[in-house]
Amino acid sequence: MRSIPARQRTDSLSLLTVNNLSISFQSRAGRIIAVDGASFELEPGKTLGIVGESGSGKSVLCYSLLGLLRSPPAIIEKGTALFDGMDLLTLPEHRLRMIRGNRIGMVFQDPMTSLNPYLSIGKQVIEPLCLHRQISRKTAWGIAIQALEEVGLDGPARLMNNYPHQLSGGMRQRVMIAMAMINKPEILIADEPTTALDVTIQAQILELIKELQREKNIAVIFVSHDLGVIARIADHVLVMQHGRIVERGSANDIFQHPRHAYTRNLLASIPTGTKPHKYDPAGRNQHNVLLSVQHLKTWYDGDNSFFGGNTDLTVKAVDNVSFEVYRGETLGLVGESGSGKSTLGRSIMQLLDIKEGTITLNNQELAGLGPRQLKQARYNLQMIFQDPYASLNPRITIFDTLAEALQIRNSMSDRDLLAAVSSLLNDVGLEPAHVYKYPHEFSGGQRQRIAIARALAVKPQLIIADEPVSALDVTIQSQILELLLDLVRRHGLTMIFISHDLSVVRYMADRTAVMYRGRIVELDHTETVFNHPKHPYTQTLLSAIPVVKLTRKIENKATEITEK
Amino acid sequence: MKSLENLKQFGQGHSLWQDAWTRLSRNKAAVLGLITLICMVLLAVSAGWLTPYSYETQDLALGATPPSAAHWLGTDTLGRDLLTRLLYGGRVSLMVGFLATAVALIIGVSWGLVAGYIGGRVDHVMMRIVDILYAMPFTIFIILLMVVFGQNIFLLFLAIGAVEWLTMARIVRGQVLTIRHQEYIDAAITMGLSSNVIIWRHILPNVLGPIIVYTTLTIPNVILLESFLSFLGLGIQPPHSSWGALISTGVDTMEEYPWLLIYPGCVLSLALFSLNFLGDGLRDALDPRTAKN
Repeated sequence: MRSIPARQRTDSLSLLTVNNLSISFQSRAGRIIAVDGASFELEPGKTLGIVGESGSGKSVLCYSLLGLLRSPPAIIEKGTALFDGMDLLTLPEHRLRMIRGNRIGMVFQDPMTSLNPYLSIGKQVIEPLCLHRQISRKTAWGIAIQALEEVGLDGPARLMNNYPHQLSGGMRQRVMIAMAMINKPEILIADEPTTALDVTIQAQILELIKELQREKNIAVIFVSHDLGVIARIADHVLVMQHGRIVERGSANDIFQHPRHAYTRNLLASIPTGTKPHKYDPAGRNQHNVLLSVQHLKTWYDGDNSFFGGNTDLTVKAVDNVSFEVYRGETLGLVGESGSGKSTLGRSIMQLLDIKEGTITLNNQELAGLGPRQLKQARYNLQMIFQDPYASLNPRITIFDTLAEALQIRNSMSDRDLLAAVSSLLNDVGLEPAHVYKYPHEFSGGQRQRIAIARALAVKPQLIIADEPVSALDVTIQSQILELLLDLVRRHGLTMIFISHDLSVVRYMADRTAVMYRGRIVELDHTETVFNHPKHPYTQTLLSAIPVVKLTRKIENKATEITEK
Repeated sequence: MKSLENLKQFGQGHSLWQDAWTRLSRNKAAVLGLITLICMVLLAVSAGWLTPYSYETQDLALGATPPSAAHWLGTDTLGRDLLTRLLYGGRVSLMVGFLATAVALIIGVSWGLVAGYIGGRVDHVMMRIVDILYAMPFTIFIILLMVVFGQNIFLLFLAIGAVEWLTMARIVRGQVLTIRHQEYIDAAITMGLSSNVIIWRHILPNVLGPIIVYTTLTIPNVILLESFLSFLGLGIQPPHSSWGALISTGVDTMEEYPWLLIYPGCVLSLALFSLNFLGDGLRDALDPRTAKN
C-alpha cells in the first residue's frame, strides 16, 4: 500500500490531489519518462490550466487520471491521485468506470472524431445517463434535450435525431461538452477542446465552459498549448516542459511575472506587433505588379459521378476574387476554415482547376498555358505547405529532395550540387551534416526548414506559404517566422502568407486580405486592417483572438456568424 | 567552402535501394529466406546433373518404396524417384510462381498507378474494367484460352498472371489515392516535375510496402493454382510434374505411402516460409522509418 501523507488526507479544500505522479512509456528505444513527479491540487469551482508544448506530458497526465492510458506501453511509476478518498491511479477498472462520465467528465480535442458517426446525437448523449443512473430511456431523452439546450444548441429536440456529420465542428464540441456535463460531474477535464476549432467558435466554446462552470460550480482541468486560451479561462496555471511542472501560480502571476526561463520563452514566442521592416509603399505601382488575380472563381463540383456533377451541391470555394501582389511585398491572407484561403492559394499554384477568371504572373496568363509552358511557369511559383510531416517524401533523403529541386531548371555537376545543397541548408539554419538523413529523423521545425529550403531551391519569384507554422509548437513557430522574415529581407522574396492566426499574419504581412465565404471582404495595409477594421466580419474575428495580456482582455463579442 | 569539406566526410549519399539492401542484409530471417530460395532455384535448374534417375522412367517392379540409400526420398507408385521428381517439379512450380506473379505485378502495379494518379474518368473506366474481369469465371477463362491457343506452359503463366493482377491493381490504386493527396506530391507538381518522374520517384517507393506483402501472398497462391489446373488437366501433364501435382497425388495415397505427401509438402512449405520472411524483410528494408540507428 502507498502511504498517504496526513496533510493531504485531511485537506478538505482540494477536490483532487495529485502527488508526485510519474508516468513512463516503454518503447523499443528504452524507457521514456512522460510525466516526472507532477503534484497539484484542484479546488472545487476553479479552473486549472495546464499549458505546454507537444510532448510536454500534459495530455498523458490527464489521461492517467481517468485510467485511459494503455498499459503497456504506459507505466505509472509512482504517485497518487486522490479523489474523494480514492486513488484514481490504483482503482480497479470497474470502480473507475463508475467515476468516468459520471463524477469526472472529459472533453477531447477533435470533435470530428470523438463522436461515433453511425449513432444519432441523441443515442450518444443519453449513453452516459443510462449507464450511471437507473432511469428509463424516455426520461434520459428529456434530460439530454435539456442538456443540449444548456450548451446553447438551437432546436435540441431536432438535433437529437441528427447524425454527427450534419453538425459543424463547434456544434459537435458543444455536444461533447453536454455529454461530459450531463451527469453533473465534479470535475471536467478538457484536453485541448478548442484547438481544432476556428477562432470565433473557440471564443464561444471558452465562454460556454466558463458559464457552465459558474452555474454548476465544477472544477475544470483545461489543457492547452495556447497561452492566449489559458489566459482567458484559467484561475491557476501549471506550465509543463519535458514532463515536469516548471512553473505554477495564479494566471495573473504567470502571465505578468513569469519566473521560469521556459515560461518567459513561451510568452516571448507569441508573435506580437507588426512586421519589423516595412515595405516601401512606392513599390506598389503599375510596373511592379508580380501577380494579378482577376475575378477568380474556383468551384468544387458536388458530385463526381461518371455522368457529370450535380450542380446543386457545388461549393463556391473561391468566388470572384481579385487582387494584386507587388514585387517584394508580403500579402497576408487570413480567414477561418472553409473561407477559401487555401483553395485560393492552390488555384494560384495551378494545383486546382479554376472555373473563371485570370491569374497573371509577370504579365503571363497562367490558365491557358500548355503543359510545357506551365512547367516553365511553375518554376516561378513555389509553395510551403502546412504539415511538414506530409510535405516531404519519407523515402528520399534530404539531399535527394533538395537536389531534385535544385536541378529543376538545369542539371549540375555532383560537386556543384553538393555545394548548393549545403549552402541552402545553411541558409535555412540547418547543419549540412544532416544532408543524408531521411525526413523522419528530423523534428517538425527542422522539417519545415527543409521544406522552405526546397521552395527556395527552385528560385521562385513568388512563394505561397499555406499555414506554414500552424502545425508547429509556439517556440518553434516563432523561429520559423523569424527565418521567413529573414529570407524575405535577404532575398527580396515576394510572398503570399496564408494563415488562420491573425497575430501571425499581423507580424508577417505588409498588406492583409481577409477572406470570408470565398470572398475577400477587406484588403488593406495590415495596420489599417487590424486597427480600423471596416467589415463586420473582420471586427468579429479580431475580437475573438485570445489575448495573453490579461489587463487588455477583450470581451467576447463573437456572434454565431460562422456556425450557421 | 568549409561546409563542403565537412560534408564530404559523411561520404556519398545512398539511394533508397542501396540503403534497403544494407538494411535487408542485417535481417537474419530475410537473408535466410533469400538463401533458401536461391538454393531451391539452383537445385531445380541443375536437377539433370544431380540425380542419376530420370523423372519419367518407370520401374513398375519397384513400386512405391520408402526412403532408402538408393532413393533418398523413396519412389512413387510407378517406381519413379521422388527426389528427382521434386527437383524437376520445382522447375515448373518456381517458374509458375515467379513468372505468373511477375506478370500480375507488372500489369497490376502499372494499372493501379495510372488509374490512381490520373483519377477522374480514366480511373472510373479502368476500375470498371477490373470489376468486369473480376466477374468472369476464372476456370472458364483459362479453358477458353487453352482451347483457343492450345496447351502451352507459358500461356499458363500468362493466364494465371492475367487473373491475379486484378487484386494487385485495386490495392495499388487505393494506396496511390491516399498518397496522391499528400503534400509532397503537390510540392513535386509545383516544382514542375513530369508525371512520369512523380509516379516513379515519389509515388511508387511509397506503395512498395503493400505491393511486396501482396506479392509474397500471390506466389504461393499461384503455385497452388497451377496444381489445381493440372488436376483439371489444364496445366502440366504427366510425366511432367510440379510440387502442387505431387502433393495432390500424394494425398490420394496418404495412408499407404505417407512419404509421397510429406516430402513435397515440406518442400512447398519451406518455399512459402522463405518467401514470407523475405517479403517481410523487404517491406521493412524499403521503409527508412523502420531503420535502427
